[in-house]
Amino acid sequence: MASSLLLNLLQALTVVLLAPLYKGAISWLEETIQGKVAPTPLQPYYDLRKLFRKSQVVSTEASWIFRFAPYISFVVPIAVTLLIPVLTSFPLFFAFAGDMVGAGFILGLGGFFTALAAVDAANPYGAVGASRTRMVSLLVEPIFIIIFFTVSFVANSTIPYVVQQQWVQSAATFFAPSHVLLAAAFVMVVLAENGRLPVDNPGGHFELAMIDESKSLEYSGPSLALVKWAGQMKLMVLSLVFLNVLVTPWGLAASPALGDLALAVVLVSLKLLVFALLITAIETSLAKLRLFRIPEFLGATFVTAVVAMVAAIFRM
Amino acid sequence: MHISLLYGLNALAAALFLMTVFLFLASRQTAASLNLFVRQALLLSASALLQAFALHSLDLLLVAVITVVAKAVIIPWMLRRSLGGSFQSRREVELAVSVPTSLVIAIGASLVAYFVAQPVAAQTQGFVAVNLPVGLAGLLISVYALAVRHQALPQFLSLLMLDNAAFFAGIAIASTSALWEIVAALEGIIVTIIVALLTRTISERIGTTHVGALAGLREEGPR
Repeated sequence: MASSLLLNLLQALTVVLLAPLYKGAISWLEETIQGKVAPTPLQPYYDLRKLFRKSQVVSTEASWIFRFAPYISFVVPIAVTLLIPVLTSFPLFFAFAGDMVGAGFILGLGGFFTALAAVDAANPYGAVGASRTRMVSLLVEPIFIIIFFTVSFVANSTIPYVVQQQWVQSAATFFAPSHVLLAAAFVMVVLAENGRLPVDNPGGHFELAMIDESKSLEYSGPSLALVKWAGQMKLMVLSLVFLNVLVTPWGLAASPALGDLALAVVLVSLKLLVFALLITAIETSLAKLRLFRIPEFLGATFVTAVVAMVAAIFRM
Repeated sequence: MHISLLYGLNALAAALFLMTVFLFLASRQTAASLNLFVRQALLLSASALLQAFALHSLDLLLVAVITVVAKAVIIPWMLRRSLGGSFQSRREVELAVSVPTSLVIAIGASLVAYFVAQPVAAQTQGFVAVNLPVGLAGLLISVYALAVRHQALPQFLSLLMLDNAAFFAGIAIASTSALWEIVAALEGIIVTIIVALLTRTISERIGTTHVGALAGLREEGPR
């Protein structure tokens, strides 16, 4: 039990430490492909170090929510990491403490507090950003639920460690329409939830257009570092759910041996790199949608998820 | 190659086929719609190819080749050549029903398709069980897309998609004759020529292909 707890901590540490690199790698890939001079993939680490050294300014209007929100949003992805398989294919200490729906609720908690904090500082753009992120989350929520329904229809469980065993049984289950549509819907949800194109431009800081970035407008210094780091971890956690639970549960450590774990870190990083390439391909080929077109994008995602569920129910 | 892998790849093609139908329903640009149609035709031909491989059927191989040549090359080329301007226009496709509502209706159509196909598909294995409901759903949604689009070109594209969807279900059920596919492909090309010429004429006369406005007769007076 002690070793399994230790492994859980190791998982969380992996996500905490690698998340900035993952974000940096995506930016690096995108800018290199678009012919720009890209900063090194390690740039997010430098940014975080710089921000942690700076002093912090808090609006006189702000209440305790504003001060606590960065810590909450920082802890939330770590809590989710304890529930999902990051490096190992066997369940760890907290594996049965919550299922995928629980993980979704925990992530929702972080979103709730950052949105409250954005309104709390009384910056008008904060409120605009908060209402927009809420709009996107509101539309994403039912899609998440439908995806979990589909998963539970196929795998008879929503515990991530049980679900990941399901898809690799045979080629027929792997390529089943329900699985393919489910994966497509989940990619679109990952893009929407993390403020990536085509829903939001992660590189743009134009007040009128931005959605995700406006939540952290009022933050500075260490709090901003925490909020940024939390965003990077959320992207990585959702990517890991996609890769390790829903689509490619290969390359995970089957035993707690140190060699297996080291190999798993390398293989999981490789999988993340492939997913980063996918995100890059999507983001370089699509333009940002107009705000009022976002419900249509998410509507298409919803339909994809529902049809995945229908196909799963009818076992076709 | 293992048969279950062929089933799997066919199911993958079917899932992507269904996604092109949904994306078509949600797309507002004519050029994007045409691209979706080409991708759909390629997926249809991929499905035919996989089934030809699994069933050792020369007819299905022929179907796959004809589909690629006619639907992914000739028809798009012809449409672009004769109606290039309409594709480049950044005007959005006019829809009678909003996209979110349409998507909800698409869910209903897919549900009906799966429900209706269930008794047949339950008796069979592999290809029919996947292609029949997907093709049927595509058929219903294409008919719906046809009904809610106002301009001639998007309507015509929905018609072609309807054709694709019918074939998607058809190749799994009746896989023994390529003759009707040849006839249908030729017919598709001829219909494309006629529609293209007609649309160009209409467009030259009145400057638009908004056929929704052509519902009334002139004798009825201004509406």
